[in-house]
Parts: sequence; C-alpha cells; structure tokens
Amino acid sequence: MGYNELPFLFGFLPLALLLFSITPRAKRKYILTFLSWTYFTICSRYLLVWLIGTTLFIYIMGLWIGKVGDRIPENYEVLMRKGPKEGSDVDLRAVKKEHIRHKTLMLVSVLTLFGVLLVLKYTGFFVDQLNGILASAGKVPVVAPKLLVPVGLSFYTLEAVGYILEVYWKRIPAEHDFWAIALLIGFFPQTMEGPIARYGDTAKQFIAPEPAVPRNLQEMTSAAMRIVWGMFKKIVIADRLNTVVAYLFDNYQDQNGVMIVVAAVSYTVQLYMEFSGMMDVVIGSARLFGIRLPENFRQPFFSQTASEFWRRWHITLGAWLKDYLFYPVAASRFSKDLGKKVRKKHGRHAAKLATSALALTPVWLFNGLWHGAGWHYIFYGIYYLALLLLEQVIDPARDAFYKKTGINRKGKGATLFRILRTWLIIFTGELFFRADTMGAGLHMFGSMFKNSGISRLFDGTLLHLGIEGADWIAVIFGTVVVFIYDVLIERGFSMKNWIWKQKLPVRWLLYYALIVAVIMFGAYGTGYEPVDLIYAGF
Amino acid sequence: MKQTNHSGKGSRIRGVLFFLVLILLFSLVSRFFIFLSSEEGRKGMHMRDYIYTALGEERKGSLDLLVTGNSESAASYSPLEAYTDQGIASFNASAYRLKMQEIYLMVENTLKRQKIKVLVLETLSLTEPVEENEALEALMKGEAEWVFPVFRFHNIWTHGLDPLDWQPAMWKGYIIRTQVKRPKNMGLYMHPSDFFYDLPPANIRMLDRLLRLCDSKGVQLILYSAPSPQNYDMKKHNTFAKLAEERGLTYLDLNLLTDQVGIDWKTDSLDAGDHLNICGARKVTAYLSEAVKELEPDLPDRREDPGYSDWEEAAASYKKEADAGARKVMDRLAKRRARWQKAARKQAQGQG
Repeated sequence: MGYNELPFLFGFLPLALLLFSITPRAKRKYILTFLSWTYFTICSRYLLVWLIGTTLFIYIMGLWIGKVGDRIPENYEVLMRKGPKEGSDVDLRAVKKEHIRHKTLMLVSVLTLFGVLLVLKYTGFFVDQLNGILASAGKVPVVAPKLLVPVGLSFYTLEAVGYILEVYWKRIPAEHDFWAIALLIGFFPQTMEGPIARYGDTAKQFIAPEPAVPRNLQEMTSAAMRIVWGMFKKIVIADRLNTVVAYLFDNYQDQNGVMIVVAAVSYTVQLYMEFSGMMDVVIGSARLFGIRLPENFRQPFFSQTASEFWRRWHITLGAWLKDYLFYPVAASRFSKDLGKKVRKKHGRHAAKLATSALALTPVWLFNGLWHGAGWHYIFYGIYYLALLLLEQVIDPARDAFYKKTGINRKGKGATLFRILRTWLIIFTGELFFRADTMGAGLHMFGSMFKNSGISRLFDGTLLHLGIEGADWIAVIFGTVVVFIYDVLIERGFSMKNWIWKQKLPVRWLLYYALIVAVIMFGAYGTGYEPVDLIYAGF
Repeated sequence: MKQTNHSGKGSRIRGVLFFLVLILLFSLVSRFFIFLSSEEGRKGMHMRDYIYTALGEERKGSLDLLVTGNSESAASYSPLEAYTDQGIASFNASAYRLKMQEIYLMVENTLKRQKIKVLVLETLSLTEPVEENEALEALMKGEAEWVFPVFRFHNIWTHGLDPLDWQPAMWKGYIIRTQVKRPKNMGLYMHPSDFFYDLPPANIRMLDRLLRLCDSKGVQLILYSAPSPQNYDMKKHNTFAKLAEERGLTYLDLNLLTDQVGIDWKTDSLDAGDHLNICGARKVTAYLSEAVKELEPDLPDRREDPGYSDWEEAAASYKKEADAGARKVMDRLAKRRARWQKAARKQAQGQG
C-alpha cells in the first residue's frame, strides 16, 4: 500500500487520523505504534517480526550502552593520558574495562543491524558474484536462498544505527520509553521512503504528539495541501514520464545520441518529481498527526557543485553519512596521522585532499551500495567520490582562474554556468543509476556520442516512446509549474504564509485549482499502469 | 509567521463547507466531461471506457441480458447476433483485463438503469491476478469513477490532440474482428486432470458479492468459459465447475462443447487460439443465446416489440458488416492457402 495509492490516502490515512484524534493525548503513542505496525503488516505481512525485533534490540542495547556509558567518566581520554588526580580513588583498570565493554556493545549492535541488512538485501548479489568466479573456474554454482526483504529495511536500519551511535557518543541519553523507539524507526508515513529520521528530530514528538487535527486549521490545511502538491508531482509528471523512461532504458541498445540524453533527463526529472513528491505526501501526512519530519529536498537543481547537490538532494541520507561515517573516519587517529604526514611532505592542500579521500571513500561506497546490490550502484557512488575529490583538486586552479580573468564568480553568468555544469553531472550520474546493469550504463554512455540526431527531438520520434503529444504537454506544463515554485522557494518566498494571507475565496480557489489539476492531468485510470514507488525499492 | 489557532465551531463549519463545494465542483466537472465524452472525446478513449460509455447510452430499461468478462467474452459474444437469432436484447460489457472488482461495480451501476434478467460472466476474469491491496484500490478507484465520472474521463482533453486516435465500430459492445490464425499446437487442451487452479481470494469474494447482488435484484447469474486453447485446461474447468456447483450456479464450459458449438479452429480463432474472430463469435453467440433462453424462459423476444425498432435497424446494419467480416476471414484463409500451394509447387518444381 504505497502512499500514492487510494487505499492509503482515502482509507488508511483518514481512519488512522480519526483513531488518533479520539485517543487521549497520553495514549497516542500506543495508537501510533499500533497504526504503524498495522501499516507495516499490510505491506510486508509477517516480516513485521524484523521491525519489532530491531525495535526491541536497539531499545535494550541502547539502555545497556547508556548504562555502561554512565560509568565511564566524561574526561576518560584525559584520565587515560594523564592518570587520576592525586587522592582520587578512580580505578583506571575498571574504567578501561568499562570503556572496552561500552565500545564492544556498540560494535555488536551496529554489526548486528548491518548484518541483518547485508544478509537480507545483499545475499543474492554476493552469491551472483561468487557464481561468476565459480563459473570461470568450471565449478558448480551456489544456489542463493530466497530471502524476503521487509519494507523500508534500508531506511529503518540507518535510523536504528544512528540511535545506537548517538547513545554511544553520549549525545543523547538512552530512551526509556519503548514506544518512542518503536516510532522512531517504524512511524508509518516514513516506513517506505524515509526521510531517515534522527532521535533528536522526532522521538520526543512521538511521546506526546500535538495533533494538527482538529485543533489548528492552518496546520491541517497546509499539511493536506502539501499531500496534494506531492501527488501533483507524482501522478502528473513522474508517472507520465515512467513510460518513456522504461521504454528507453529497456531498449537501450536501439538508442543513441540525443535519445540517450532524453533518457537521462527524463529519468532525473521522474526521480526528482517522484521522490520529492512522495516526501511531500510523507511530511504532510506526518504533520496531520502533529509530527514534524525532517525535509529531504531543498531545490537540488539550483546546486552549483556536486557536493552542494548532495546537501540538497536526499538530505537525510547525506546528513546520516556525514555524521555517522565521514566525521568518525575524518576524526580518527589514522586520518590525523595521515594528514600530518602528507602536510609535511606535500603541503596543506595535499593533506586536506588525502584526509578527504580517506573519509569520503567509505561514504560514497556506502551510498552506492545502500541504494541497491549492483555494480552500477557502486559505480554511482565512485562517480560522485571522484567528482567531489576533483572539486577539491582544482580548487586552487579555479581560484587562480577567477583572479586572473577578473570574472565575478558570484555573477549571474558564472552562477548559471555552474548550475548547468552540475545538471550535466547529475544527468550523467542518473544514467548509470537507472541502467539495469553496469554494462548497460556504459553502453548508453558510449552511445550518447554516436549519431547525435538532434532532429529527433522535433520529428515526432518523441511521440513514439509510449506517450503522446498531450502527455508531453502535461509533463512540460507540470515541470514548469514545479520549477517556478522551486525558484520562488529558493528566493525565500513562503508559499504557505502567502496563501494564508489571502482572503478565504482566493485561498479556496487556489486549493481547488490544485486538486482539479491533479485529477485532470494525472496519469491514472485505464490505459495507465500504476507505478511503484522508486525509493521504496531501495 | 504568527501561528493562528483557528479552532472551534467556525473552522469546523468552514471545513465541511470546503468539502461540500469540492463535491459540487467534482459533479460539475464530471457533467462537463460526460458532455465531452459524447463527442470528440470518445476518440482515443480506452476500450473499457468506450464500452462503458456506450452501455450508459442504452435506453433505460431496454436491456434484458448482460454479458461481461475480459477480452475472452469481448471476442466471443455478439449481442445483435443474439437479437437476430433469439430476440434477446443484450449488451456485451467486456474489456481487456477487466477485473472482477470493476465488473461488480459496472453491474451494480448498470442495474440502477436496466432491469437485467440474466447476467452471463465469462470465467477468465476470475483468474486475473490481483493482490488484496490491488483489489481494494480497484474498488475505490472504480467507485470514485462511477460517482464522479471526471475520474474516468479525465484524459479526454488529450484525445482531440492526437490525429491517430480513432474508435472501431461497436455493435452493442461487440467489435467485429476479422483476423484469423489457427492454434499451432493444441497441447494438453482439455486433457483429463484431477487438479485445481488457485484463484485469487479477492476474486472469489467479488464473485460472491456479485451473486448476492444478483439474488437481491432477481438476476440469474450464469458462468461460461469461451473456447480458448491458450487459456483453458481441465484444471481451470474443475475449479469453475466446483465453484459453480458450490453456489448453485449454471456453468457452461464451451471448451468441452466445441463440437456442439461447431468451432473450427482453422477458421474461428483470431490469434492462434487465444480469442475468437467474427466466425467463432457467431457460433458461440448462437449456442450461448439458445442455452440462456432455455435456462431463463422468461427472457422476452424483443423482435416483435415496436419499442425496439432501432434494434432492428442496428441488427440489419450489423448483419451486413458481420457477413462482410466473415467473408474477409474466408478470403484471408483462401489467399493464405493459395500462397502455400504456390510455395509448395515451387518447392516441388525445384526438387523435380
């Protein structure tokens, strides 16, 4: 039951809201957990045991890690380096033992959580690789066990690991309320596609949520309209483009030149409209229950560099990787030692580059693999790793270029150039990301430079990709509307506030216009196949 | 921005008013779309919607029998043939991959305008794979489409834009098909078997709901399986026979009666044993309409009814087209045979 489907929007969601509204505030966490587990059961049936198991596991481990951590003094590092103050009765040996225990508990927790993810999601991929080796050695292939993957496994595992690490680092105390943990990783609007919530973002809200319904009309209206806006992106644009994308990528061997560009651009637009649209539905739905979920997109197509793009696209994944992978590696002793050595020999810039490379490599390998078990996903991660390192390598040269030519780097022309360059990077990355295999991705990339055939954009070829002229009009119209909206938001305009300042008839007219636009221009009904949520597949 | 707390009775009234205006808006837009659907908008319309629109345009209370199902029944029953043979006023409301949930809603809504006496359901719809969630989605979507037709016709604005859009002539829901291709291999077509086929539970539930609806409206429900070597075997027959027996329904499996029906697989199949062409449909209609008449003797003969003069005209026009279609089938076969003979002669000369 996807968030874009009628049983969710007009069945589960209103029923859940009704149940939630009639439940006393102090008991709402129970009803929210019940609703979330019911939703999970509808999607993954008995695989709910994985979610409940993970909840119980991190609840117990969190408390345990917290308890052991409390016995370790805050100044542990100093204590170990300098020893206890005179007259102090601190038993260093006992403290060290607790420290090891603390670390072991954290490692066991994290490895168990990732172990489950690895086994359930990647066994098939690893067995395929093994079979490739066995086949080349003339050995009998191994049969991969068929494992069912619960919905949202990749998302809730990251949330669970994040919670364990936060408790371990003593940034937060271990949560004693089981229901807060249950909802942290299982809250139903974020089950399928995130956003990847942190304990600090949401957990406390779950314990005593303040509902938007029925108390605050403004909040309720904004939340509902955000859902409609998300559906506009999804069914007017993304679902229409799906036919084109599927056709071009499925028949990639017959495509070349400009048609590969059409494939890459169409998929990028589809992915953005779908994922960001679903985030609007998710955040809007959560708001109806009084829960504020973190934003996942911030106008990514205005990014001027690849690194900025990743601060604006799937923000919660980027932030998770930065906080729980990049910083720990960058702050490690090994990284510091490496930095010192390289600085001595090759200077500051090289040292920065070396430490960045060290910390960014696991981040981008993880990012690629997290999206799925496939070499093209790994390549996708390496692609961005290379680009980000390249950004740092050419940093001094770029500064020198601006200085020498006198070009205003903040000028409109230079900014536009950087934005368009970033688009090129994004489209190329998405080409490999969407390709079925690494080979298909490389083939498509190579074909892009053969027989450009730009005339195919105007000679009717685009009308033979599974959608008609009217569909293209709807796609272009919808994309322009979303683009204008994004421009306004980028300039600091608050649509929510502006709408609320209008008189009631104007407000309603706008709401009705959006609803009717979704109904009239949506790609649904007979002749359209329902399109599964893309990120739910990751 | 300062958060305004719009609580209380006023906001509740405004909320209710908002939805009332929205419902009114949907109704108005729906009416506009129904208007569009009767003109240019019908071009390029999906077959299911095209048939539903034609069904909705049938004179109120004029239909006595409704045939429904997926493409198997769409290709195997011709209402104007049944009118000519037996005087039955019927409509074929079948379409490609029509789900049981859609069928139920269509029948429920048709019964509001028509006093159907017999409902004939082609059984392959019961095998249409549907998950529980999809079944619920289909019911909700279908319900919305019947209440607010804008949900069904919302794509009409695209139809006028594509010059390639067109619709074939439809005869009370039936479309004459003249292609011919015999089944290559009959395989294990209707070979004895004791096994059963697993039907999706959501479809069985829908059949039971349909049966309850028929009972409450005094409609006799009959199940039939159209001849189709590609789709039917004894496993499916056993399943439908058991299903019908348990519910006290009549089940006519024409796959076991191909001799009685007179099916000739050389001439009657459209696409290698999947669907029937006009020749096959004529034979199935003749057999089925006679059987239905026997099962429901109260079915009126409308041929003498002056209120059905338009049916007489339609039947006459249809006959011309159907005869031409049948001739086309035979011409195609003759041409094909001539090509083969020519090729065989060439081969023989070459060998000689």
